[in-house]
Amino acid sequence: MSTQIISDRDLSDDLIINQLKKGDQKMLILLQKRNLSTIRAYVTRNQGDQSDAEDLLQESLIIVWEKVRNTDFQLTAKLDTYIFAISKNLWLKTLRKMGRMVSHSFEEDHYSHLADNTPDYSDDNATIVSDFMNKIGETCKQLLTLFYYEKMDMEKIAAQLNFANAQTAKAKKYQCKKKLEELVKAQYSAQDLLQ
Amino acid sequence: MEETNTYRDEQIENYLLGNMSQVDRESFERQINNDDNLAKEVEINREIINIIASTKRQDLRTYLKTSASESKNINSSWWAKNKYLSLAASVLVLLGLSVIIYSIRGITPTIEMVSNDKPIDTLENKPKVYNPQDNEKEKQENLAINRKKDSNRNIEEIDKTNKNDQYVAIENANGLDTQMVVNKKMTTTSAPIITENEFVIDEISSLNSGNKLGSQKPAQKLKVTFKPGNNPAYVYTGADLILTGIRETEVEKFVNGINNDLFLITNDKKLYNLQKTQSQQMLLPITKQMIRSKFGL
Repeated sequence: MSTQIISDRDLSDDLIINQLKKGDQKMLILLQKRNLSTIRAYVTRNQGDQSDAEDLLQESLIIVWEKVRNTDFQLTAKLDTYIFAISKNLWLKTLRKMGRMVSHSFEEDHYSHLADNTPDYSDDNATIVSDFMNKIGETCKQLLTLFYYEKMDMEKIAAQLNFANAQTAKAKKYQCKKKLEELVKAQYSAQDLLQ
Repeated sequence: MEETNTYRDEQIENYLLGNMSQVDRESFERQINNDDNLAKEVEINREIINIIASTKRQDLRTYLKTSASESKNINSSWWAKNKYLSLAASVLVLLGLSVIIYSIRGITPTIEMVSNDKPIDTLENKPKVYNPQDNEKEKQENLAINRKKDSNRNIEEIDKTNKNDQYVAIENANGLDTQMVVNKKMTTTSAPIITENEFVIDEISSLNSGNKLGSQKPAQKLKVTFKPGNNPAYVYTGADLILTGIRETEVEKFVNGINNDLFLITNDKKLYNLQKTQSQQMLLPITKQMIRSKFGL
């Protein structure tokens, strides 16, 4: 006789990664729930508070999302361990940015290499960016995101956004990109004028 | 002219999205170095791609934040809306706990680290170790435990299957073929390596269900969760394990053995070794013969 309890924790790392590759954002929620207590414990022990921990975990999960989806991702440890390593690296960067002292022992451990070259997107200028994207309209936003961020091919994009075919989607993408380009150029010109 | 521009746009895109071969990339980089207009176009395209990526990241942040706050709201609003229910539940829980504490008395989730030189030393100090009135079977069980004088001999060595994540409870000592169980994966959320004696018992609670095989006794499940041991950096949030077939009143104590083994000792001196095994379904009975040969009985 055996008793088995199925819960989020029983989902294997492989399954979660496959779902992430397919674009299943719900997996991020699952990972967020699953890792919050660990990250919170870590951050609050190391000069941060609960809110810092939540932000940190969200940034880490975004990195995981991009790593899993955009590269030849090979997991060499448990997924939660990997998330913790990324969080730790990001937190070290944050502390350094804030000019806080970071002890030697705090920096080094045997699994920090798992998250070498952790990018830091927390400095994205969200206001300007979302302003640009709102100006080009929802369809353009979706189309450009699918092509440039998700790296989806034009046939799939056409199917997903209900374009007649890949050529139509490609022409639309060209228009959308031009719109965005004009906005960026205008921003550059404004900056040049100010400088 | 438009075709030329389109071609150039595609080249820039392929360059920035990493879709160029090494040779084409190097050739294109040479063009960029020699053509200021092209360099500017590349920069603008790079900026566009960054903007698109930043927007997506912002969407993901919003998605995660919304989910986190919804989760908080659900928890807090439930308690707010059900103040009286919460109060009643709390009273019931307290009552329940009193009953459980009263009924189990002997169960104390002791946090006990056992060193390598004295692996299960605590077994030797039990007051009711050997009773001549006991039947033959019990005598042998007690002898098996009590005659373990040599520190080189330890229960953990009986079965070295502690490689993976699944835990199995193994009935030991009396050799009966009763069920034991198993359960969930132990998930280490932070530390990839579990060193000796890192975990201790955190919580024991009872759940009502299950029947003990071969017994008329009402059975209860015993839920055991783990928390970090000496090193607070290690947190095992998913490490719970449920035993069925053992009534909580039967449990005398838990002992941490070496190499992360966990032992459960029942009041009637049965020893359960909770080990990591290869397979969830794998039951590894430790028989009297094994005990005998191990302890020279």
